[in-house]
Amino acid sequence: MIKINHLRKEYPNATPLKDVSVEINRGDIISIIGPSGTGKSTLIRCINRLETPTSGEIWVGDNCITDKKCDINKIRQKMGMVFQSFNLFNHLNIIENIMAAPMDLLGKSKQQAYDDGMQLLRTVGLADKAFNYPDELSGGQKQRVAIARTLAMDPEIILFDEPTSALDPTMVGEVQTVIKDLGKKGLTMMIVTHEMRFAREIANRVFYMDDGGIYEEGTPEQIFDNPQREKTARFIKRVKVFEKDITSKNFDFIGFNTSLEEFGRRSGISQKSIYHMQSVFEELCVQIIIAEMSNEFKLNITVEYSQEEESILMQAKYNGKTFNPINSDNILSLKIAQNAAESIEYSEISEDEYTNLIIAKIK
Amino acid sequence: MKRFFVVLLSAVILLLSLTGCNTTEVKDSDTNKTRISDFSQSKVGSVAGSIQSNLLKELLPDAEHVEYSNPSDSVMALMSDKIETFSTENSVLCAMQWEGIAVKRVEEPIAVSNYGFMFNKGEKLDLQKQLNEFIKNQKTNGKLKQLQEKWFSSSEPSEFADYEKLSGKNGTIRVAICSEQKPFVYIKNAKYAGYDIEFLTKFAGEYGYNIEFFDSSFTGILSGIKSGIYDIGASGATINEERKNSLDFSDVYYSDEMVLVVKSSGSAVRTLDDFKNATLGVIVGSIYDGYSKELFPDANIDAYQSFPDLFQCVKQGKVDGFLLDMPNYNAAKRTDKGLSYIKVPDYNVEIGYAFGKNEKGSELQTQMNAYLDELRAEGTLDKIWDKWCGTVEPTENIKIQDLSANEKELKIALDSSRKPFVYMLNNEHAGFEVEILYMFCEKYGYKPKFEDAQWTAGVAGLTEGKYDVVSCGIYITDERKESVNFCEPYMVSDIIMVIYENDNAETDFLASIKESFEKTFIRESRWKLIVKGLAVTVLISFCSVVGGTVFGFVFYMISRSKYKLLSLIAKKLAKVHSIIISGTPILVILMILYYLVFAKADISGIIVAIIGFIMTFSSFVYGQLDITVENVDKGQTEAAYALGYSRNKTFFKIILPQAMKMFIPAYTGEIIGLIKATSIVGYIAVNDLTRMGDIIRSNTYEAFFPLIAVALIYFALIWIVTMLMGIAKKKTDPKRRKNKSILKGVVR
Amino acid sequence: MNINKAINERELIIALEGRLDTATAPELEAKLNQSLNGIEKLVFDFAALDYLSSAGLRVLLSAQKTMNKQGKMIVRNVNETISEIFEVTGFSNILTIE
Repeated sequence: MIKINHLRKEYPNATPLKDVSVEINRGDIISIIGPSGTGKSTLIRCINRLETPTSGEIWVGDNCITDKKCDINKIRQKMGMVFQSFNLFNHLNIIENIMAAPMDLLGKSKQQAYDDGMQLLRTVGLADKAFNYPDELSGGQKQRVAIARTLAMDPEIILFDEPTSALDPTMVGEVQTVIKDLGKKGLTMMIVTHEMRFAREIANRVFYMDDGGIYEEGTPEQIFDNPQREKTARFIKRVKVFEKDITSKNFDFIGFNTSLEEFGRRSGISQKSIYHMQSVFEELCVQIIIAEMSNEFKLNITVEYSQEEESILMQAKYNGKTFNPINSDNILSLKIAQNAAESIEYSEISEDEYTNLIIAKIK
Repeated sequence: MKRFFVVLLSAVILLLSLTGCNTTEVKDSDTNKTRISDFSQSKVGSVAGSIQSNLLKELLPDAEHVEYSNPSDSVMALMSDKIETFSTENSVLCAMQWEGIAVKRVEEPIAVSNYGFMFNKGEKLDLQKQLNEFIKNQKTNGKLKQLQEKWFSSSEPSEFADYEKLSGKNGTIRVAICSEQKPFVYIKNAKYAGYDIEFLTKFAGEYGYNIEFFDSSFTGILSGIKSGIYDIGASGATINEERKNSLDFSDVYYSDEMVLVVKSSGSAVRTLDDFKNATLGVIVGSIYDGYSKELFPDANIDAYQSFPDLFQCVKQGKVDGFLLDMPNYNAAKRTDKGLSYIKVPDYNVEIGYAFGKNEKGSELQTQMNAYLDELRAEGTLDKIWDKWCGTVEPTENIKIQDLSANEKELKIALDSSRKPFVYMLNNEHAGFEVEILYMFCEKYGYKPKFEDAQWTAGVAGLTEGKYDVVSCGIYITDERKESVNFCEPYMVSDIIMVIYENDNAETDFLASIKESFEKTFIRESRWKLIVKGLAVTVLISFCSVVGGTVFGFVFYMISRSKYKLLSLIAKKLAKVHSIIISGTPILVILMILYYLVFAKADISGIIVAIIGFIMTFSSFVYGQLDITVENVDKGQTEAAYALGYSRNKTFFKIILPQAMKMFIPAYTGEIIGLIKATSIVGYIAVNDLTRMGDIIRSNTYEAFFPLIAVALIYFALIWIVTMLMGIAKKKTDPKRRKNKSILKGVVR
Repeated sequence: MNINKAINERELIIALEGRLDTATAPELEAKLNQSLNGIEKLVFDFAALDYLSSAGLRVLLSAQKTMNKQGKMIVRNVNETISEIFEVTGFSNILTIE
C-alpha cells in the first residue's frame, strides 16, 4: 500500500533520515520505536508530506506523493494523523470538530455528518461531550476526539505521532484501548510510541529506528525478545552506555573519573558499584594496561549498564602488543581490581586496530 | 449601559460648566486708556505670526506678549482677564461687535495695513492684470468705498453676494479662502460671505468667470498658492515685504488700521432709543402696559403676570426691558446686582392709600393727608421711605405698640405681595405702608385690623364697608379715582426702564448655556454646517476603514501565497510601507499627498484624505493580521492539512475564525483612532466636523460651546462604532453560538 | 584531595579528605617527605577519605617504612570499602589500623 524508496530528509544541522526504504501493506499495524531524535516522527510526517523529503520517493497506492504534480490534499483525505498535542480546532465544539472535514471536504450533508459523527463519538465513549469545547476536555478525552475526527474521513491508514506522550499516566490507558480496538477492526496503522508494552501488544511489525533509518525490523517477538543487532538490543534492554577513548598517557584522569561517576549516578548505579568501577578502571586500565603501553596508543573503555539484568560490564579494548593484564606483576593493583569485579576475562581480538579485550563484570 | 450614561452626563455637566465661567470684571482703569504706550507694562495678546504681533513687540518691549492662533482665542483671553488687551485689525473688531462682544478699540492705532489678493509669484499675469484693472475702476467710480462702508461698520449687512449665479463663460478661477476671517470671509447661512467674497464675485461677474472656493486654514492658503494649486488667495491678507518674496500681490483693495482692543463695560443697549424695536415686558392692563405702547409703538410687547416674572425675564433676556417705578426696582436690586435702569424722562407715578367713597372714607382721607404732611415736614417720611425703599434690605420689622386698647377699629385690606410697600417679614406684616399705618393708628387712636386682600377685592370691600383702607402700594390714576378716594400721594416716583447687564452680575448658568446653544446652532442655521462637517468626517472615516481593510487583507493574502517570490515581494513591500507610515505623522503624509503628489491633479481634498488614511489603515490591518494569525497555534494548521484541507481552506475555516478573536479589539481601537485622526483634514482644505467647529467658533467668538458640541458629536460617533464592533465581536465569538443555531437543520 | 596537618610536639596527625589515587598520591608523598623529620608518631585520619587505590597504598607503605625507623604510624577511622582493600591486599598486616 505504501512504498518508500530511498527516502532522505536533511535539515540544516541534522539528517534524521539518511536512506530509508520499506513497504507497508494493507492491514499492517506498525510500531515505530527508538531513541529520541532518530527520525521516527519524521518518517511518518514524510508519509503524509507534512515534511517534504529531501530526496527519494514515496508511493501511496498508485500515487507518487513526492511528485510535485500530485494532489496531496486529496491523498491526505485518505490518511489520518493523530498528534501528540491533539490539535483539535478550538473554535468549534466537539461534534463540529468531527463534522468539519467530512462536510467541507467530502461534501457530506450536515445531517449525515452529524449522525456519523455522533456514532463515532459513541465508539470512543464521548457522545455526552458533543457540545463541549476542546478546552473543556481532559487530555485523554481530547485525544479520543482527535481519533474520532480522523475516523470521520474513513481513512485507509492512520498515522499516530506519539499519541500518549503528552498524557497523564492515568489517561494513557483509555487512549490505548481505543487504538487497540481500531487495530482489531483491521485498520492499517503506524504508531510512533515510547510505550514498549503497548508497542508490542498492538503491532504485527516493529521498526526500531536508529542511525538515520530503520535500524532493525521484525515481529514484536523478534524485536523485543530476540534483537539481532547491538543497538536494538541495547535499546530493548534499556542498556545505558558509557564510552571513552584514551590515546595518551597524559589523558585527563580526573575528568574521566568525574564522567564515570556522573554516568553512574545518572544511570542509578549504587555508590559502591561506582567505586568499584573506578577501582577497576584505575587499577586495571591505568596502573596495569596503560603502564604497559607505549606513548601513543588506543584504549577504548565502554561501560554497559543494564537496568533489567542489573549488571555492569566494563570493557577495555586496546591496541599494540598482545598481553594479558591478569598476568601482570602488579599484584597490588590486580588484587584490588579483582576484588572490585566479579569476573575479569581477557581475550585477544582483531577488531579495527584493537588486539586485546578485557571484560570485567563489576560488583 | 446605565453606568455609561452617568459618566456621559457627568462629562457633559463638567464641560458645560466651563461655558458658564466667563467672568468679566471690568477694571475701570482699563477702559480709559487711549494710547499704545499706556499698555507698556501690560499683558498683551496678538495672533501668532501676524504683522501686528511683531510690531507690538517692537512698540512695547517691556510688555508681556502672549500669542494666540486666532482672534477668537484672543477674545476669550481678554474676556477672562488673561490679557489686558490684544491687537487686531479694525475690520475684525467690527465683526466682533456684530456678534455683540463687548469690546472697543483704543484710540491710537498701531499701524496701517494694506490688503491685497495673493498670486503665485510670476504666474497668472493676465489674471493679475485684470484684477488690478478692476480694483482701479472700483476706486475711481466710488463703488469700492461703498462696499467698504457696507462691510466695515458696527452692524452686519443684510445682503450678500450670490457667487453661485456666475456665468463662467470665460472659465473658472480657483480661489483659496479661510472662512474664519470675518468680515472678509466667513460663512453665513451655509454660504460664503464677506467683503472679499463680494468683491471677487463682482470681479468674476464683470470678467465672465466662475469661482470655485477652497476653504482651508490661512497657512493652507499660502502653501496652496505657492504650489500653484489655487489661482487667487484671499481673506484679508496683509501685504508685507516678507510675503512679497514668494507671492505677488494685487493692488491694495482695502486699507485697515491695526488697533488695540479692550473690554467695554456695559451692554450693547445704552439709551431709550435702542428700545425702538426691542421686546418689552408688561403686566396686562397695568399703566405700564399703556405707557410702553405709548413710548415704543414699534416694540414687541409681551404680557406677564407679575413683577417678579418681569425681573426674571429681563435677566434671562426674554425681554430687553420693562417699565417700573424706583421703589420696586430698588427692592429687587438688593438681591440681583445685575439689574440696571435707564430713566424715562417726563413720566412718573404717584402712590398712596385708598379709602372708601363715603363719609368715613373722606374723614380718613383728611386725617391721612394731614398726617402725611406732618411726617413730611418732620423729615420722618423720608426716613421711613429710605428705610423701606432704599438699597438696603431691612432686617428688623416695625416695633409694634400694643394698640388693642383703642376703641375705634380700622379695617385694613393689605396685599402682602407688594414689596416694599406691603409684604411679610418674619411672618409679620411689614413694609413702608404698614409702618405708616401703625403710626397713623397710634396717633389717631385706632385699633388696626389687617386682612389680606388684593386690590380688586379691597376696593369692593371699601364700597361695602368691609374695609376702611386699602393698602397695596397702588398707583393713583384718574380711572381709579372714580371708585375710591385717594390720599395725596405719599411719594412720587420716576418711571424707569429696567434692564439687565451681564457684566455686573453672576451669570445665569442655564441662560448662558441657552444663549451659547442658540448662537452655535440655531442662528443662521449653523447646525447645518455641523451636519455637513459630520457627513464629511463620516465619509472619510468609512471609506478609509473599508478601503484600508480591503487593501490590508488582500496584501496579507498575497504574502501568504505559496509562490515564494510573490510572497517575499509582498512581505518586503509591506515592511517598507509600515516603516514609512509609522515614522511619519499622518498630517505630514496628507500634506505631502495634497501639496506634492496630487498637486497637479484636480482631485478634492476629501479623496486625498481618504487615500492617505487608507495607506495608514491598511498598514495596520496587515500587521495585525500577521500577529493574530501567528498566534493561532501551528498544530491546528497541521491537523487541518493532515485531514486534507488545502492551504486556503485551512486559513479561512480554521485559522482566521480564531484569529478574529484577537483581531477585533485592536481593529476597533484603530478605527476609533482613525476617526479622531481625521480631525486634521482641515489643513488640506476639507471642511470636516472639527473644521466646522472652528469656523463657527471664529464666526461667533463663542468660547467653548462649539468645541464642546463637536467633542460630544465625536464622542457619540465613536460610541456608536464601539457598540457596533462589540456586536461584531460577540457575533464572531464561536463560543457564544447557541447549539440550536450550530446544528440548524439537523435532527438530533 | 585535602591534606590537613596537625602537629603536636612530636606527633603529626594527617587527615585526608577526598580521594587518594593516582592523581593525588604524589601530592601526599611530597608532603610527607617534607614533614616527617623528627616525628615520632604519625597518625593518618581517614574519616573523610572516600577512595583509596594502589597508588595510595604505595605511599602509605613508604611512610610506614620511614616511621618504623623513627617511631610508629597509625591509620585511623577507615571505612568499610577501604578496610576491604587493606584486607585483600594484605596491608592490614603491614599497617597499624585503629
